[in-house]
Amino acid sequence: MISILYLIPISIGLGLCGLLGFFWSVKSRQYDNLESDAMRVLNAKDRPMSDVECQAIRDPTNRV
Amino acid sequence: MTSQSLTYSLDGVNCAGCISKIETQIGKLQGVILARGNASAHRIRLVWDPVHQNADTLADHIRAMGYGALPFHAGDTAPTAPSLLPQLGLAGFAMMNIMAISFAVWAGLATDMGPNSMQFMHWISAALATPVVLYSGAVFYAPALKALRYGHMTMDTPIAIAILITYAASIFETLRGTHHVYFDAVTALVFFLLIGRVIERALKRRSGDAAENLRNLMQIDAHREMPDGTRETLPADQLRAGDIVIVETGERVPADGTLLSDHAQVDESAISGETIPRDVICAQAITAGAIVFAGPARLSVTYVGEDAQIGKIAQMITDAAAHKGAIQKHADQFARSYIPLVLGGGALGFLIWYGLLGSSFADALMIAVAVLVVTCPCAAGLATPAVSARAVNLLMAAGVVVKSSDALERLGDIDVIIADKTGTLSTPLPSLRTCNPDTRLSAARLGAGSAHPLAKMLCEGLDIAPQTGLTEVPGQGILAYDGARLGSASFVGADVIVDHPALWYRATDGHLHCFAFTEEPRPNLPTFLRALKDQKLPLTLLSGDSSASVAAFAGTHGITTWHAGASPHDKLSLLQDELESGTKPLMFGDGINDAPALKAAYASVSFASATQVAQAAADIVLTKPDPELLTRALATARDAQHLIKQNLWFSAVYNLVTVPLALAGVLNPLLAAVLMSSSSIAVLANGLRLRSPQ
Repeated sequence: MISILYLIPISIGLGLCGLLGFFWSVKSRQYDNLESDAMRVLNAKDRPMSDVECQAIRDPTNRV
Repeated sequence: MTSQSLTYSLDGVNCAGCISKIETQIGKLQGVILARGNASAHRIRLVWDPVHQNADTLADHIRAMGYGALPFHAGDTAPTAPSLLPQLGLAGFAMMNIMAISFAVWAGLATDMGPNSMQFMHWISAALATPVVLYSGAVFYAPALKALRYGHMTMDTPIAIAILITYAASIFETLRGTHHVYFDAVTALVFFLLIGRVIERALKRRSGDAAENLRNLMQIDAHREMPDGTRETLPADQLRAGDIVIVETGERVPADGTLLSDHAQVDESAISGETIPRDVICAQAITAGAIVFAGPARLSVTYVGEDAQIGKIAQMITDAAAHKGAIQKHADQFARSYIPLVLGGGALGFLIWYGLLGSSFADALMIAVAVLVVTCPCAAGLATPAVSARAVNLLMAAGVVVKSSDALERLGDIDVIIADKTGTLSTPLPSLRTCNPDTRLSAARLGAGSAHPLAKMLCEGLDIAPQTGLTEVPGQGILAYDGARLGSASFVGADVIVDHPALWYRATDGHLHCFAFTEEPRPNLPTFLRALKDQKLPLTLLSGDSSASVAAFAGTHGITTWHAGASPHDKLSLLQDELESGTKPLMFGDGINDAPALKAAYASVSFASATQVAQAAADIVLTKPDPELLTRALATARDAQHLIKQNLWFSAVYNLVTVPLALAGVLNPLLAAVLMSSSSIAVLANGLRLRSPQ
């Protein structure tokens, strides 16, 4: 029975990692535009993004 | 390399597919660095290299694909409420973990779990529940406290009390080492209540975006003509009534105004959905947001910004979206009368069990908490808003602006429809048959200032300014100072009946002349009339026109009841008679002469292209002059009402069953929370059964 003393906290700790991931995804506004993001993946360009494009995507003012 | 960027609000975008198409096409253009759209906000953000593109060429590219695009300036609208997803996520995480632990505890009660293990489980649950109560629960405490400061109680009050009492009692019991611990109930309560809040905020944000896009139509530059003849450019919101502005061909009209130039053609599709450009002649009104098709137009500003027609529609949408009107009133009234009962019930439960039946303080407290939680007025409180919020949103998407949710309720109740003819069931501009050009010219001098469709058509294409000293008698005609009259047959004293729309003119010398018009029905009129027959709603035609032209129109379209020659006062008294006889009439009209009847009717409907007075008087405004939209609105309102009744019955039965159980001590707080949440979800889910009006 002593095993639950550390197994339960470990399981909760793992769950907490998931929760932190969720907080991060909300904070980085991944739930703001669910419809368009889902479509965009289908039409992505078949080449790596240039630095300018990466910069533009990361700029928070470019979110709608 | 410096890049430029701009957000555009898009028009004509219906789904994520449209946005994706624009993103792909624009993204392929040379020099475009980023094209990111938002399908629910109907906006796109573009970043480009100024060497290859500029803001105008990009907007033209979007327009070439068949969508409207306007630079979007974030206005000074209310800041959007922050997302509640983190609070919801935390509550969900804690709830599931505590549930898992609770199952172990319940199994342990039946088997041989030692008191130390049990205590360990309880402390872990307490550790998980504490952040939920402090962080996620704060969503409910803040409004409850704020209301309390003003001496009010809201729906949040019993929720906050139940959360805090259950949590405090559970901590107390954990310290004492008993098993009356309800951390699972607290977290489940917070989690399920937050789900409702998250959905509500998402709906609100969506409709707020729509209103902001509409307001964006007004935020453009205007060219003001100064008294010395020079022009200056300034933002449209700095215009004042009485300013003179010049709008070049292809530019957007910055404010409501009356045309000073002789003639202009405007595209009002952004406002009314009418794609055919409208001819405007001197002294007629032009609404903000219209695009000048053939110009330039020189106009005198009448209304600016929020007061302009388009600003009012935007305001209506905001109001409808926030469900200010009746939903809030209903909820608050309900809270004021119901919540003291809930708190009283809880206190009663505690007193009976602790004082009379002699149970322990802890047991009596848990019974009180169970009563508080189980009667948590969510189901009854959500019964109406869950359905009307969805109905208002569905209708808004279909182009029907419902000004308040009690308008929606009333719309579902109506049993007879009374409709104006000209401009409502028929197009506002019938065509003028051939006539004597000289007589027409002198009659047009009287008609040029009038908003009446026949007068408009009489003056169409004529290069004239209105005569001075005219008096317009609403619903009858125009009287000139020299005795000339233009208007209905009775107004000019003609004793003739014609079977077509006609405008009568009596010259100063007493000579009578009749201008004949051919009337066009609204495109979807037959569908609308058929739908009314299917819904068993009788239609009465109520027109200010002569009985011959009303009879002809009624005959062509199979309308059996009609009244002709009705003055604004006649229309009003007919509506009042209907109301007195116990029927619930819906008035459907567009003119200034319909406004009193619209105001009096049980429910009333007008168009976005109707006169502003009519719009202000009506409960519901159709964004397109299409009577078929009303059929859809009626069907949706009836469905909504049916669902609301179901919900109210359900919550009444739910409370009748559960409150005695809770008072009898059968329910513990956990079971109460599960019952309460499932009743709320049942009510919300029932609201979602409402289908889009197709």
